[in-house]
Amino acid sequence: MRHTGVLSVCVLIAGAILTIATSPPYFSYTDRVDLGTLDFAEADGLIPIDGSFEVEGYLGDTIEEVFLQVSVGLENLDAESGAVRLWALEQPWELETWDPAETEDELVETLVIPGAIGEEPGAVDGVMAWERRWVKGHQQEFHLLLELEGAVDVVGSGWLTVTIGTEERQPDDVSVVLEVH
Amino acid sequence: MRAPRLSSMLPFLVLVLAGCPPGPGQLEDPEELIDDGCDENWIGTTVHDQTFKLPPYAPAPGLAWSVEWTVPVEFYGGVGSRLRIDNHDPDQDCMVAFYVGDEEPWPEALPALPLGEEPPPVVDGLGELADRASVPRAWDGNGTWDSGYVALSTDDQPGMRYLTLAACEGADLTVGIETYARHCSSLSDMDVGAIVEAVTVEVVF
Repeated sequence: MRHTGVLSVCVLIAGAILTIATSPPYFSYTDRVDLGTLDFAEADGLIPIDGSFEVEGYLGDTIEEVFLQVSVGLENLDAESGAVRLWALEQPWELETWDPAETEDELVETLVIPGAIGEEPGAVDGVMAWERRWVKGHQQEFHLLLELEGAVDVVGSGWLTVTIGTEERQPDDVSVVLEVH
Repeated sequence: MRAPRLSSMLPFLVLVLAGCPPGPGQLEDPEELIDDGCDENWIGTTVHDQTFKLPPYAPAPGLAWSVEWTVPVEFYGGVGSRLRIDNHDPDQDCMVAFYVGDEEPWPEALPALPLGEEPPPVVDGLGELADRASVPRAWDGNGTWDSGYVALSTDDQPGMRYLTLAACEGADLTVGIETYARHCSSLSDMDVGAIVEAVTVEVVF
């Protein structure tokens, strides 16, 4: 009986592996840019990130998937907690016109950072991911904004990653170039 | 001699990749694979799991509970208690501190817990500080949480411990308490559950 059971499990696992092996291939191409020091106190709580990505090499006619990820490691020296929000903006950010309560821009994700206790700063490591369909064009601009509310004295570092994913078969010489200005 | 085609080897490769033995004749006895060393075979059994809503005021918000356990023969393990504190209040962060002592706690002993300051490491009537956290307020409508943990026993010491959670005033908190036994012996879950004789939880503050 025990051998029959073991064999059944083997067949199930083997089936799963065969299923994965026969699924359409999925290709992804990634580039990453260091965002340097993120000093929210110096930036009055608002850090815009404007940039573009470009795909070098052939891509087919299918609509591609784009994943933009902001990864951060932050420390909070204030006793109060804070919320770091990632926004995806329609237009380049402008201090005079942008209001978080009024905007129709997309709130991508919120990262909560706890307050400091004594000498120990509150800390958070997190990834805020923005996923969207990419309708043609091998170059595309993007406009992101990191907004801090609550705590003021927050510093850290981070990087931005862009990944292009497609199920269409691609040659090997495709690469993605990401720029942040 | 021609090399075998990859497609003819696929079933074998899949079985090898799946971590399965190649044939019944070579099957190893599963009993031989069990390592009785306590470094690798720890088993945890939850013996108590309950969630409470903390009163926000009067005279100070807190929660007290006690855990009593015995130790059977051939037991190698310990008893521990875990906390999860959820802050549903959108307006304020909350400091919480978790004390462990050998005597029944006094409600009047609860310390004030100013935001940003270290709680006192020892409090008369409550015992020693085991863990603390600053639980952020519920940002953007989503509650936030933090957790704490204390090991109550080691190996072969039976006993009784009193635990207290001290919290800030006014916040909307729920507290989950999980007490469990951890062992690497051949005892069943039922036997291990029985070693914790009583987990008594009472909102006293």
